[in-house]
Amino acid sequence: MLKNKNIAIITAQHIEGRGLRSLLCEQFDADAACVFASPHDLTENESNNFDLFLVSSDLFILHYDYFLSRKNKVIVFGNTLSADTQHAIQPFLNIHATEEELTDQLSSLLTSAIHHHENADSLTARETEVITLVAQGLLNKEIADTLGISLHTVISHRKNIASKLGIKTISGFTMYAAMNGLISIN
Amino acid sequence: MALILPDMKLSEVILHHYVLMPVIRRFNIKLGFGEKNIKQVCEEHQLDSDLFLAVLNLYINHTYAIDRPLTPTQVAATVDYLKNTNLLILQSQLPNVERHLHALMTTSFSHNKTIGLIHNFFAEIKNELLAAIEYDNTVRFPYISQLIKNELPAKAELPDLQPAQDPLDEKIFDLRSMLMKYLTGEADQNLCYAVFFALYTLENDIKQYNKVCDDLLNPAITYLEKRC
Repeated sequence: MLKNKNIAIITAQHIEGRGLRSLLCEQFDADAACVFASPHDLTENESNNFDLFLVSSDLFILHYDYFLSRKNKVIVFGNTLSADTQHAIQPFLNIHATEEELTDQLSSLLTSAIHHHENADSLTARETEVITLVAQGLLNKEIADTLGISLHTVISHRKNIASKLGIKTISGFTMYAAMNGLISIN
Repeated sequence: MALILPDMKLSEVILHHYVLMPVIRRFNIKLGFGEKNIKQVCEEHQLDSDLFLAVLNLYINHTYAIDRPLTPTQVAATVDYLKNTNLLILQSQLPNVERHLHALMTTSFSHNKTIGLIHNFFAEIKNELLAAIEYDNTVRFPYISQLIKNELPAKAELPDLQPAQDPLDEKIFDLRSMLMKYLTGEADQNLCYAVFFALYTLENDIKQYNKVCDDLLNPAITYLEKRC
């Protein structure tokens, strides 16, 4: 489930971090999980490359600004007491639990965190192809030829994309594609 | 509050619909109108109260029945209003978006390339907006003022503005939603909010500008052209 995902485990208690990491490796096939003592140990670049942050509740509160801008990717962990103090809407992992309970909790938290992140727009593969070509400036006819589909199908794909993403203009499509890495920024 | 009517106090109307603040500014009404009702304020400022009410109500999505088409005097007043709208866009709204966007670029671009995309998209919008305003000032408004004075050469026609691909307000809408939905990495949230609101105000004003044109000005122009 966590194969090829960059995961940062951030906690001042090293042993806690190591424990979480081995749990993630054993139960969820995580192969790129690292433990850090503070978000300050991460460079700006590294920070942006992580797909998921697991952070202890005390550090979450201490570095709230840092995590706020990445809140879709953050799971907070702590004991039952800290559950009350942490921001209520953030996904929370209670680590005062047996291995089985931990696995269950993690499984549902990870599913929603990763699902949320990957399917933020839920375009189909075909729709993604179409929007990429629109963003490259191709006309409907050219898109139809490139993909080997009918003009009518291209138009209906475009309508669906527009309504899924709430985008109204061609410039908007282009910008969407650039911001989501479908076309190069240059 | 429902329809805005002539006997309502202007202050109460504005307190209820604060979005109308810029509208009265464009009609050159200064603050400090006390307890006067709309009719009195209009008389004092020599404004056509029907037109004033039509524009106010249009702005809050109500329809105020006005004799259509507008009279030539009302057309001239509408053009003045639109000129003021453009002037405010140039003098305060565009610079406002730019100031915040520039600050955002300065603080965040080095580590956040998506800010650059927002910046470029806005530059495109700005160019189109400037071209549209230029067209108004050099082609459309002079044409209308000749039309009102009945000085148009026979069979004169208003040349079209090079049509843009998509309406400007929709482009701004898209830009705003991109900023909201897909801004990744770190960026100063205060500045992002400032850009968002500045864009929203601009988008709304452009929308309202188009509504005044579509609902009030253009039918009158068509009528006056036929009269020629």
